Amino acid sequence: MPRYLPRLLVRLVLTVFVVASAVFFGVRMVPGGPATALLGADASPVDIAAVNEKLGLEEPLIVQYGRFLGQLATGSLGNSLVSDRPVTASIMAVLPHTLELAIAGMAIGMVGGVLLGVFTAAYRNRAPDYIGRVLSLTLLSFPSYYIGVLLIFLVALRVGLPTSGAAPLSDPLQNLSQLILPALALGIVGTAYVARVTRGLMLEVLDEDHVRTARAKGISEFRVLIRHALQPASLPIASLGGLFFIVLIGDAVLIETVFARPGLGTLMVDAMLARDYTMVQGAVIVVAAVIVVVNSLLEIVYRLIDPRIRVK
Amino acid sequence: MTTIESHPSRTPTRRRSVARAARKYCGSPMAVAGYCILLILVVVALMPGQLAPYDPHAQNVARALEGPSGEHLLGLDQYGRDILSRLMHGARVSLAVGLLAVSMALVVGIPLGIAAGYFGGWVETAIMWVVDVMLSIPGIILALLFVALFGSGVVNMSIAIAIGFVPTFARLSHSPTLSYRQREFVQGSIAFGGRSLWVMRRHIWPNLRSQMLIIGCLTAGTTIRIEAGLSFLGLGVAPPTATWGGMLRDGMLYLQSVPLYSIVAGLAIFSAIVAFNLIGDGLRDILDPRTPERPVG
Repeated sequence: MPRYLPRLLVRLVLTVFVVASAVFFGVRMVPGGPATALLGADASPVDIAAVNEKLGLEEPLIVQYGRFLGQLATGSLGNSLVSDRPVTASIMAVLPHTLELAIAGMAIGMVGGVLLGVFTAAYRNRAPDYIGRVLSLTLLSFPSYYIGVLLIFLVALRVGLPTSGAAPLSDPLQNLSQLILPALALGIVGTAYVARVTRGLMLEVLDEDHVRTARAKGISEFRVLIRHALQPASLPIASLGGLFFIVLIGDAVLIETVFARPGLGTLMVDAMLARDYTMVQGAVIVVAAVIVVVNSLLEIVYRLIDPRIRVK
Repeated sequence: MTTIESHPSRTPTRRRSVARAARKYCGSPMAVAGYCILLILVVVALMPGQLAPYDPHAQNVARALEGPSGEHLLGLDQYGRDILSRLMHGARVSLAVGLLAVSMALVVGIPLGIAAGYFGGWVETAIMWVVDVMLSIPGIILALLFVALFGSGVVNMSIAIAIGFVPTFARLSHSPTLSYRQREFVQGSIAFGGRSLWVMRRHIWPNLRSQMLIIGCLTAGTTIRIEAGLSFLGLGVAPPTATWGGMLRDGMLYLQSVPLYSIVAGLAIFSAIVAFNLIGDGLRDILDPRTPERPVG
C-alpha cells in the first residue's frame, strides 16, 4: 500500500471531525436556540420542549456532543427535523446529481479553458489574443447563476430543452438533456479562469530556451505549442483541478436552484429556509467530505503522473 | 516592489498622451473603464433617493409587469414597482456588503497569515491547519450556513461572506512572509532588538501591501457575486428592500413574458463585478505583475 494513503485518511477524518464540530456548535449558538428558530418566537413552551427533546437539547452540551460524534462515527447524520427521515438517505438520493453536474462542469471548464488559453498564447499580442483575453475577463465577471438564467432564456426556451429537474443515469438521453445547460453554466466561468491561467503559464514556457531550440530545429509551430509548451505547463494546470472542484461545488448550490435541479445544493437551501438544522448540518458535513475525498484522489493522480512529487 | 516593471507583452508604440496617462495611472485603458463604472455605481449607491426617478417601494399593481416606456425606462415589476429605481437602490446593499466583507477578511486574514509565517512553530501549525480545513469548504456554503443560523442583515451578510475569505488572505500573506522572514533586513531588525509586532508592521507588511491591495480588489468582485447569490437564493437582505440578486430571481419567473427584468438585474451584478476585475487587473499591471491569479471562491 502506498505510504500516503494513511495520511490522506487521517486528513479526511480530521477535516470531517472539525467541520462537524464547528457546525454542531454553530447550530447550538443560534440566538434563542434552534427550537425557537424552528418554531418562531411566539411558539408555545410545550412545542419548544417537544423539539428540544427530539434534538436532545436539554442534556448537557458535552453529552450531546459525545452522542453526536458517536453517531457520526457509525455514519449516521441523525433524522431530519422536518420529515423525521434519516438525513443520510436524503443526501445519498441527490448526491449523484450534484457530482455529475460538478464533474461535467469541470470537464467543460478544463477542456474549454486549455483550448482558449493555448489559442490566445499562440497569438500573443495579436488580435485573437486581445479578443480572447477580453472575452475571458468578461466571462469571469459573469456570475454562473446569471449565465444559467441567460442560457434558459437564450437556449432552452428557444430550442425546447428542459429548464428544470434531473434524470437518473439509467436514462442517459433525458439525463444529458437536463445536464447540458447547468453544466455549461458552471463550465463557462471555469473556462475563462482556466484560460487565463493557461495563457500565463504557456507564455512563461514559450520564453524558455528549449522552445527556442525546438523552433530553430524547424519543428512545426503546432508541435512546439503542444509538445514543448503545453506539456510542461499541463501539471500546474491540472493541479488547479482540486481548487476548481471546491468552487464548482459551491456554485452548484446556485446553479441547481436556477435549474430547479435536485442536488446537494437545493437540498441545503431548502433545509435552511425550513430551518431543518440536522439536514443542514448533514449536508455541510457531506460537502466537506466529498471535497476532501476528491482532492485526495486528485493528489494521488498527480503523484502517479509526476514522479517528482514525493511524500514529505 | 514599487518599481514598475516593463511588461514584456507590451510593444512600445507611439500612443496618444491620454492612453499613456491611462496606462501609467490606471494600468490600462480598460481599467479606466472600470473606474468609471465603479464611480457611477458608488454615486448611485450613495444617493439613490435623489437619483432614482421613483420610490422603489411604491406599488401600482394595476400596471404590474408593464414593459419599458418613456415613463418607466426599464418597465415595472410584478408589484408594479419601477425596475430602474429598484436597481439603483439595490446598488447600495451589494456595494456595502461586498466592500465590508472584503475589508473584514483582509483585516483578519492578513495578520493571521503574517503571524503564522513570522512565528513559525505551533502558531503556524495551528493557524495554517484551520486555514486548510476552512479552504476545503466553498465560501458560499460557509456564508449560507452563517446567514441561515444568525440571520441576514447587511452586517451579518458581510461577516458571513468574510469568513470564507479569511483563510484565502491568510494563505496568501503566509508564504511571502516565510521568505521575508529569512531576509537580511528582517533578521537585522530582529538582531537589533526589534519587537515582533514592530518588525511585522514595519518590515513585512509594507512588502505585502501592494499584492494584498490587488487581490483585495479582485476579491471585491467575488464577494459581490456571493452577496447577489445569497439574495438570489432568498437568504439575503429581506424584502421589500431591493437587491440585485432578489430581482434576478423574481424576474426568472417572468423570463418568457418580461425577459428584460432578469436581464437588467443580472447586468447590474455583472457591472459591479467587472468594474472590480478591471481595476484589479490594472493595479496588477502598475504595482506588481507577479501577483498570483485572483483567488476563486
